[in-house]
Amino acid sequence: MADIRKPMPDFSDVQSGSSSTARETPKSAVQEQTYTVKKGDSLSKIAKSLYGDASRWRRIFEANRDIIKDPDLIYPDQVLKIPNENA
Amino acid sequence: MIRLQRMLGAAALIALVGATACKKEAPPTIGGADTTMAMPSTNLSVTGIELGKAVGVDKRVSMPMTTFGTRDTIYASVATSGAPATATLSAVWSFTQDGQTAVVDSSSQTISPTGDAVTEFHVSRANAWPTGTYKVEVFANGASAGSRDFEVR
Repeated sequence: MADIRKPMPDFSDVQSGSSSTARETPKSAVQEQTYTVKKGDSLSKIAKSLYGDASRWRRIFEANRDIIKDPDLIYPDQVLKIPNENA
Repeated sequence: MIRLQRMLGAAALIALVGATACKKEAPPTIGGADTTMAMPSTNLSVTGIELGKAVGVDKRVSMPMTTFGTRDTIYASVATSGAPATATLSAVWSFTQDGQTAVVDSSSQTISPTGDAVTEFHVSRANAWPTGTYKVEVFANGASAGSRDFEVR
C-alpha cells in the first residue's frame, strides 16, 4: 500500500526574533563553543551532530576560514570554532 | 590647691572620654524586626508561557490565545524568575501533520535577569502559515521548561 501522506510544508522562509525585559547579553558576548575534529569527520557531519542539520556546514566553514582553506579538507585534532546556532 | 585642681581636671577628662566612648556604642535594638532582604535565586525558572498575536512593552501578550490566522505573527511570552548571571532561553516551534513533526524555527535569547523578567519570542512568515497543529517548546539553559500547543486555521 502506497504511503499517501501529504508532504511536509517548507518553513525555510519563517522569520523569528526575541526580546526581553531583562538585560540581554549580546550574542557576540556569549562564549563560543569549540569542537575538536576526529578521524572520519566532515563539516556536514559536525553540523548534523551539533545543529541537527548537515546543510549548515557552511556556518562552521565561514567561522573557521582562518584555518580551513578547503571545506572538504579538515584534519583530526583541528579545533574548530562553532558559531552559536542563532548567531 | 593646684594639685587638687589638676586631679579634678584629670577626673573630668576621664569622665568626658568615657562618655564619648559610650556614645560610640550601638544603641540597643528595640523591637527586633528582621530587615534582611530576600535575595533572588540564582537559578532561572520559567513561571509561565502565553501565546498571542501581540505583546506590550512589558513583553507580555496582550490577549492570550491558542488559535491563530494564517497571516498572524505568533508571539510566545515567557515569564521567568531568578537572577542568574546569564541564562539562555530557547523557543522551538514545530508543526505536526499525519504523525510527522517538522521544526518551524528555533531561536535563543541570552539574558542577565536581576529578578522576575519576561522574554518574548515571535515567528512570522511572508507566505501563509499552513493550517494545522503547532507547538512551541521553551528551554531554559537547554532543559525543557514547558510547551504550548496551538492551531492555525
